[in-house]
Amino acid sequence: MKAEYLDIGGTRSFVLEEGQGRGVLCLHTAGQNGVQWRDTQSALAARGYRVIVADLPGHGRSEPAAGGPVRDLAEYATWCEELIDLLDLDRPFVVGCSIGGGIALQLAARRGGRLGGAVVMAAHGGSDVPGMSVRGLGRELVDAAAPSRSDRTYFGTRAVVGRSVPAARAELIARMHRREDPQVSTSDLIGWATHDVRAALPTIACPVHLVVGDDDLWVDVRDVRSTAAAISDAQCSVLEGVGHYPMEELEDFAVLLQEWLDDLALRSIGRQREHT
Amino acid sequence: MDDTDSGPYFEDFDVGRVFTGAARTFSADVVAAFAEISGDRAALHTEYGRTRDGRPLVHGPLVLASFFGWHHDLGLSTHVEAAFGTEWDFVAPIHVGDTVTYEMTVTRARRTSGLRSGVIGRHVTVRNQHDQVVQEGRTSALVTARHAVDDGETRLGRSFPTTAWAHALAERLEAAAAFTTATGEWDGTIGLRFGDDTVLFRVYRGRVLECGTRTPHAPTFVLGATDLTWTRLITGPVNDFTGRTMRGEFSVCGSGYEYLRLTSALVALVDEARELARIGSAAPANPVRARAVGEV
Repeated sequence: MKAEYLDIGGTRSFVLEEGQGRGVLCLHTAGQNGVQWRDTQSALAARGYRVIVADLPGHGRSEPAAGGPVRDLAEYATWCEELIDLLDLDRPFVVGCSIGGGIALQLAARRGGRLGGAVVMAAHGGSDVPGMSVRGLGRELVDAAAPSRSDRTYFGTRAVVGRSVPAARAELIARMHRREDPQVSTSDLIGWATHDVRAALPTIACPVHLVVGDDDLWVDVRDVRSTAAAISDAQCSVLEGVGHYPMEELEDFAVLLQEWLDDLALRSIGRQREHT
Repeated sequence: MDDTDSGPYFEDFDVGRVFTGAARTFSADVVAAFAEISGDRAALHTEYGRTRDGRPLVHGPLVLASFFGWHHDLGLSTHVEAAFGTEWDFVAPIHVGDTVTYEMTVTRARRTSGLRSGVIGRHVTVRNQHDQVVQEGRTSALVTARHAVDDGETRLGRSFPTTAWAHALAERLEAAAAFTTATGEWDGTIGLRFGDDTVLFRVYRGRVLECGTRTPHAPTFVLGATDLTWTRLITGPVNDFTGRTMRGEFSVCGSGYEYLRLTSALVALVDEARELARIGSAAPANPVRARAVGEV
């Protein structure tokens, strides 16, 4: 596995690379970092992919974003485009979860024609019923108004890990999620609450696979289904007993992801034939 | 066997127990008959409704009244002496031809001071054939007891939100490290509201100085939910307090800051309430689904 600090969008950014083959860019959830993909990265690389796991600006081992904590997922999408270009990835797949899924969808909307496809987990293209209020999140940014943050992240994570996940695994996920910068995670959540690419969904020019766990209290399955319905080539999978973090919750997630990527690749080839 | 020996007594309605039974369809004839009996012959119920196919609306009180018929059909009314307070929400329309199911959860059980009977509180959820909730109700009844004994001690764990329950919980909280640590630097009063009833816990540095319905100062915050939510939380299979707060089942008044500050203390409090309910009841922690009488 190769670890590098790359200058992306003016931020020294931490990027892990493993394997050879088609590029797969993996994007983490709000406030978290690439460690969420630690089990997936090597397993997927062994299956013939060049797997890139990056820490978004302000997360993990990446330096903070130059303009302060990011409140707009479009900024992260721009950062991802620079990363894809810098690594010279040819028609890569993008896989993201939660805000990472939102960013993946924004990338698909921007440059779907240059992507192999997108796996969008625990995310949708926008909702009429935003789960969080931007005003409330703004108050959370004032430290003195946001007590017991670490405990709330811990118990909040436990509440959205699926019922099929063994207790020890759920505990590990929740404990690791305590490692966050609340300023960064809350700003991420403002980005999530204001994320809305519904107008652009019909123009997405790559196949998309939307994935949602039926124990995910953050995401309404109906919003995911309506997002899928608005995209010309989209599939939707509902994972039983899984919550908001499929790549952390499922032991053999890489196997499942490979199936989805194979399917995206087939559909992508089909699309290219249609256009030639 | 004497007739009065059959059917559930007060002691059989354990808090947390869930009853389900046969579905009921409201035909045009039944709705027309109810219009005659009640005198509510409004066109909405007798001629046309506001649906695309124009089916008239079933009277809301007919569906309520039919709950008591369902209750009787299940054999649950044998020892009911009186019906008490009944509050009913008409959540979504029910049309002629719709089929509903009733689900009744026992949310409270309190033996009367004479010991010969007890008052049980029930939450009733009514769903239509599409599994959509169309009515929700809370209703209590006086039910004869099998034995006139003072079993308050053994029933304590599920006697929320009585003061006796609060005292038993307070005792557990003072012995629970997760609670005393989380409140080790705290000075305030936690209020828990069950439906219309609030019970207070005066906490100072991990100790519960007093509990009951009144304290010299107002509560720092009051955490409130329906009896149904508390019952499911305290008697259900897992402590899913956080998930229930995320789904909007709880409301908070007073200091939101102090409520958030006590996040882990409240999880610990629920853990202790669940343990109290478990050891204080012979019934399993999981709600029991009773089979309808005559159901195959």
